[in-house]
Amino acid sequence: MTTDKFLARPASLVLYFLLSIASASAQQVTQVSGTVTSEDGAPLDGVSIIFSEKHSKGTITDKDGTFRLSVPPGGRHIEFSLLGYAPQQLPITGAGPYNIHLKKGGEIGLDGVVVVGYAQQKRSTTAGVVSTINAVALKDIHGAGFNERLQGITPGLQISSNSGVEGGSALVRLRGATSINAGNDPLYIIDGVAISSTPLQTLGQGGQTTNPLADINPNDIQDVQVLKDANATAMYGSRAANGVIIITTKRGDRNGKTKVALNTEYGWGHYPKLWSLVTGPQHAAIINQAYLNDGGAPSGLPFPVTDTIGTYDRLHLIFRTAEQTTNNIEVSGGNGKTKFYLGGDFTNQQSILKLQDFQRMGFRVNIDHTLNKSLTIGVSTSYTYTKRSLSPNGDTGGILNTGLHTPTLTPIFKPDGSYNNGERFNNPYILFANNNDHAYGKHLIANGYVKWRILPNLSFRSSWSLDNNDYHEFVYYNANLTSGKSTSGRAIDANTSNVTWIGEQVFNYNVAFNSKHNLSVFAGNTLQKSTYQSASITGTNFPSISFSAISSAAIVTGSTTGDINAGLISYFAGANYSYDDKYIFDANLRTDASSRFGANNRWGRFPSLGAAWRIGEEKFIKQHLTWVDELKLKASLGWTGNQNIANFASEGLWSGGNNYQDNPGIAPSQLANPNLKWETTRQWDLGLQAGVLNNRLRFEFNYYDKQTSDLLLSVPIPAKTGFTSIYDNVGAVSNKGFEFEIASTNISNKNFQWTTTFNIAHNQNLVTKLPTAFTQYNRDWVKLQQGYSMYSFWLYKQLYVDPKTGNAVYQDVDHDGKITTADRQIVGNAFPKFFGGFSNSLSYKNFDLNFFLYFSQGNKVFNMNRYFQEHAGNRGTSWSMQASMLRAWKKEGDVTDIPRLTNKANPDGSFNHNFESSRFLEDASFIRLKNVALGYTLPARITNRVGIERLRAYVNVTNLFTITKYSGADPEVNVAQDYSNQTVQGLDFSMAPHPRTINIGLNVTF
Amino acid sequence: MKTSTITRNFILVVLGSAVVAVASCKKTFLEVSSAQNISDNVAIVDSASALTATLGVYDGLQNSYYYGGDGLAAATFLSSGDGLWVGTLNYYNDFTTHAYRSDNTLLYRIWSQIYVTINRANHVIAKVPALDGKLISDTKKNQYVGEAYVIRALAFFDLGRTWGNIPLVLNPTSDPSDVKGIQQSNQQQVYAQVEQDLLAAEPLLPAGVNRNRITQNTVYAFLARLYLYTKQYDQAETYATKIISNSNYSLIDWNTFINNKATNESIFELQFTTADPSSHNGSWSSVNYRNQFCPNKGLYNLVQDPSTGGDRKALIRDVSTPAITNYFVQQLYWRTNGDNPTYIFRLAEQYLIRAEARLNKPAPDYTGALQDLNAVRQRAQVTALTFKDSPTLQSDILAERRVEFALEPQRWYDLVRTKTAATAISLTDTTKYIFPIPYNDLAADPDLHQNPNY
Repeated sequence: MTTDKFLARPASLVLYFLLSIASASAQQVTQVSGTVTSEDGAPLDGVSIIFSEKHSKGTITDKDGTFRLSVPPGGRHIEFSLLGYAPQQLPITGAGPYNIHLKKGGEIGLDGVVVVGYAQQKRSTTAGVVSTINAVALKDIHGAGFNERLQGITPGLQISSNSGVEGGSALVRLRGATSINAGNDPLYIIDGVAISSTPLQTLGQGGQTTNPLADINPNDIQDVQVLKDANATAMYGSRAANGVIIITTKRGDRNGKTKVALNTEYGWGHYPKLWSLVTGPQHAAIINQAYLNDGGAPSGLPFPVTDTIGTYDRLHLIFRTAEQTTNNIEVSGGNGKTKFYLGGDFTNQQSILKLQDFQRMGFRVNIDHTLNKSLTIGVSTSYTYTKRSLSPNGDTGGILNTGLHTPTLTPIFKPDGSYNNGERFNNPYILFANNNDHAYGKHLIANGYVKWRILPNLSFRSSWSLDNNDYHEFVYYNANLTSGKSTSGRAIDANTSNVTWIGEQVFNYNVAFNSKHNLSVFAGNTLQKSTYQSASITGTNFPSISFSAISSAAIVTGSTTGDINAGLISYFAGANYSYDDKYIFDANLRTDASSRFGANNRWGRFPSLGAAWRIGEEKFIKQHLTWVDELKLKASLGWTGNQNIANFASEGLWSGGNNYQDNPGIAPSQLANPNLKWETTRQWDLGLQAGVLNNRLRFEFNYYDKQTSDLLLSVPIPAKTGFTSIYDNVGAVSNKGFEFEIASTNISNKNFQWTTTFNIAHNQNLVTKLPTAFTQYNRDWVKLQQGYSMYSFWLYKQLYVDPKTGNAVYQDVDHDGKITTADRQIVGNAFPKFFGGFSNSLSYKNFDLNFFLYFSQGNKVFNMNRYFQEHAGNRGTSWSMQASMLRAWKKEGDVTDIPRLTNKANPDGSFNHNFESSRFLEDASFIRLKNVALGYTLPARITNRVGIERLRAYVNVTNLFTITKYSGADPEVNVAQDYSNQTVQGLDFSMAPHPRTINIGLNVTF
Repeated sequence: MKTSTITRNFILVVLGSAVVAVASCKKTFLEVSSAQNISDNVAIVDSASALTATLGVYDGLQNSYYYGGDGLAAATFLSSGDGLWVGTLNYYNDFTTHAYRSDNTLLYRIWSQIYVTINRANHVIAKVPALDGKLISDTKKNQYVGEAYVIRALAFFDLGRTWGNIPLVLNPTSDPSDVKGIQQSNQQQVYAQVEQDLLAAEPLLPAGVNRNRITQNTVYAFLARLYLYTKQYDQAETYATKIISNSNYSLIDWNTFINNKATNESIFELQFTTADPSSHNGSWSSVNYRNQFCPNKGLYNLVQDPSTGGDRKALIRDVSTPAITNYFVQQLYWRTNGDNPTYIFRLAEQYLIRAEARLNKPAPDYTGALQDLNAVRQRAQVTALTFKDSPTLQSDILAERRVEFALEPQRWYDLVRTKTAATAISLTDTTKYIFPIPYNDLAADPDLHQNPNY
């Protein structure tokens, strides 16, 4: 467009006129100055100030919050940003002085500087897929561990809490599962410290494990970043194949007013649904019927009279209304040089299942101190003490087994009034009185750093961390309990500790040149060393139940592991380059050496590349699609690793402890594989991010493709070798899927705000290469096989119950007329096809309302309770029966899914009951209203009178309803928590359902 | 101190420590070792380590799936028709009903544990003879190798009589490729290898009496059993006689035998201690806990009957109540602290082997056979039998074995060996006489082939 034509239009003329004034005035300004303060007027130190157009000459505020900088030609807007504050941009209208007030906010504004791992870059120029979750979003959600609270918040992060036991473990999978034997948990980083998500638990609790991340007080968390694509994760190299979750805790405000915030909450939990069992007479009648069906003589009926048999309910005895309290206090503030955050926490959560409690006490100290203009030092320290009361799940001692699996015809009391034990399970009252199973955790996570600003745009950060986790377990099965009876009591006392030391040095450099080029680079090194050790002592033959100290046991045995060390050395570097804020390129490289691998393959290299195009910044969009605020296309490709296998997995080993006649014996325990190396995941990602209508509607869509090869696999080898497996790099797993998220600000005015977010993700997991298929878990429920997904169930597929004979008909895969092992096949898997969340947040004047739905579609659960409890009498009076047994086929013409009652084999060799039938594999899709919270904030004019800045009262209800076809008590369960790297999922056996809780609480800020 | 000095000093300290840390890198961080394990090549190096490796072979026998508990003993006991499954794990029930399939979890565990034991023995057999004579005496070398040979023979024998067709691995494994191509041998070939190992072991072993370790006498007792299985009755008689005529062994009073350890009854008794317990007591149903399996009513009645059981009635107790029926508790592994021995070779078996051998040898010795049978009966305070005819005596001997070894894994093999399973327990399908090769191993080992009809 020529000037002439431009001038020819009157409207344009006006615009031109205005612009000329603006630019003229801007051009006249050569220097600007001013002060940056927080909302309450305290000067802010270290605020980064840059020109939006030019990145060449930025500056930072000094300790009085003042700044002064020269305006380069073309500089028209300045941006202010500081971590923990919402950034601000404003046009230069004169030399100032400008008085800028930065608003506090965890959420970094649209164009703020974000720190992602080691990288510092503008949010608009990040090309990686990173979700940042503000702690506010997690606040009202139930869960002792913060990771449980992330469920459904961000797409692609699949979280499933394994049971309703407080402080219990959760399954966390980001973009599927990449590995079979080397672990699938994401890497967790808390304030720069990589912490372990593997529990230190050594005593079996019947498959149940505890959640080590419950050691972190959720109230201390400022925000959580979830790094998903390889571009974002590659800087964590060898441990990043399953994604990275970075937790940043709260810090104080410099020159802020000292603030005290209290949060107190009290709640009650109850079970939403339990199992339905047969009555005593029904139990007896079923045994009778099976006896007759199997050809028994009517004269010899096992229960000649069934009417007089009683029904004894234990299920409702073992549950209770759980009481839960949470108390948090935080004090934060600072002066010109120092800022601090102190957090205190006392949480006490009973489980709805009796005997199981979780308590956490902890405090946190975060301090930052500015020595001088170029040096900042600081610490982040937290110490947590946890105490758990436990009761194992299992055939022998379990509490849920006592309630659920003892037959309802077994009296609880003997005629003489004393307690009556079932054939297999403890009497509930005996269990309540004698259970003694506890775990005590002490967890210190400390980090200290020095940050040296060598030049305004070059900094060096040295960080030193210690993670010291101690876990003490004590369990005493006294002689009254089935587990302790045969040995006159049995007690185990185990102490386990893991100490990790990390030293990390990182340089960061930012440079802008020729007004349009912007480059940010980092380079660094990490050294990490862990020492694990565990010692346990077992005592049996106690003089009486009054003695529980192992010193009083007649037979005492013990074992120790000694120190088990693992080390990791890493070097990494990365660059982020952007041109004109439109074209963005990222590159990262990390190299790691792990002590776990053979000398031949110690080092692994993990590169990544990413690019983004901010189409929204292009003229054609800006001019024609003015309602588009952001449109960004991203692509990335990268390699990450996994080394999370047993220490010494590559070495040929002999172990001690293979003794005979109490003399030491040794035996080979592992075959060597000196070529063992990293498992590598190659991931590419294509994403589109958009914001429209003044960013009131924001979308993000990502498609990814992850291919994991050289799987670190404990491969089955012929038993004739004397071993059943060897660690080897074979096999490959693929995960492909998409994630979609939409966030909308529906209404936003002075009195009423309403925002909605919805996210959904799909992941297709596939074992693409596995030379030898192998089965897992007791009874081989699960099978890993090439061409199928992980977590696949291996069963005899029940087609129907023959209405004529009443026998179950199974698919005869090899058509030989017989049901043999060859007919056992993969029928479904535990992965959901889709999962996600839907949340709404509304506020009207002083009221706020949030509700949050989580859904999971297409996941299967193997209902092992039914497998045991639909036993047609062959477990006699040793095991209870579910009410579904009443649906069993009775006469010709009956159409049902439960076959005829018989303990004999069918003509084809199969069985109707106690058979690995697909009948017990159920669709466990569900939609759950996880949370509804309603709050009211007292008007400030009232609270201010009594010196309270803010007072909010709230009530929240978790787990209000669940819509599911699953017949068990809860579709979100797994009993195989401690089994082989959690490769067995979706097994439901004696797991407590998630509670429905009602909490009332108060937030007070002074 | 000036600002710049503080900065400088600080940075020097930090950078200094970083440099020191990085410099110490490789050694500190990557060269780690375990306090629990040692490397392959330093396992068997001298007299002391050869002994520990040999004891490790015995430890292989002690495994709960082998002679230490509810594996092989349970599978064969339940298959014999004398057991009752009362537990949770229905793969045990598959044996009582002879419905065992290839995917029976227990079978794979037993199978692989026996091969673990074989590999341990192979290490001793291959490595101990190569040790420098300055570091270990020849006597010890011979003893350890001899012991390993006998345990390997026992393992092959158990595999052969249980599964029929099994791969014979004669060298230690250091890499999975070492065993590639080793096909299954049939039962006859397996028994030939057992014989060869036993004959190789005999001259290497000490001659004296040691009831918890393997000696030449163990070899004799084992050969007697092997020749009974291979129907080489003359040799069976010869070797049984070597034991019976040895005054260190005697048929002591039944109660003395089961209430004590390492009595004159025992030829080779696998020892367990409170620190290294047997899991037999816990895996059977006990008074305290109704676990996986127990003897059934038929067997209980048999041992209680004075004309068949005698003192052996102490083996099984009936603790049934009106609510819990068929609750029988075994009393062979009665010690609750777990130090119950497992009887692998004991004298009564040698008497009954000789009885059967004398009866079946080309020139039958009925009187001798009857004497041997009655020796066992009279020890248990059961009246002596008289000779009627040869088939009756044969069935009397088998009946005696059933009671005498009521809770020991003999009955199933007797039924299969003498082809009497059809008449005794109505098991007519002879393909069930050997167990299926475990599914998981078939999948892992391309050299393996399934037994017929599984």
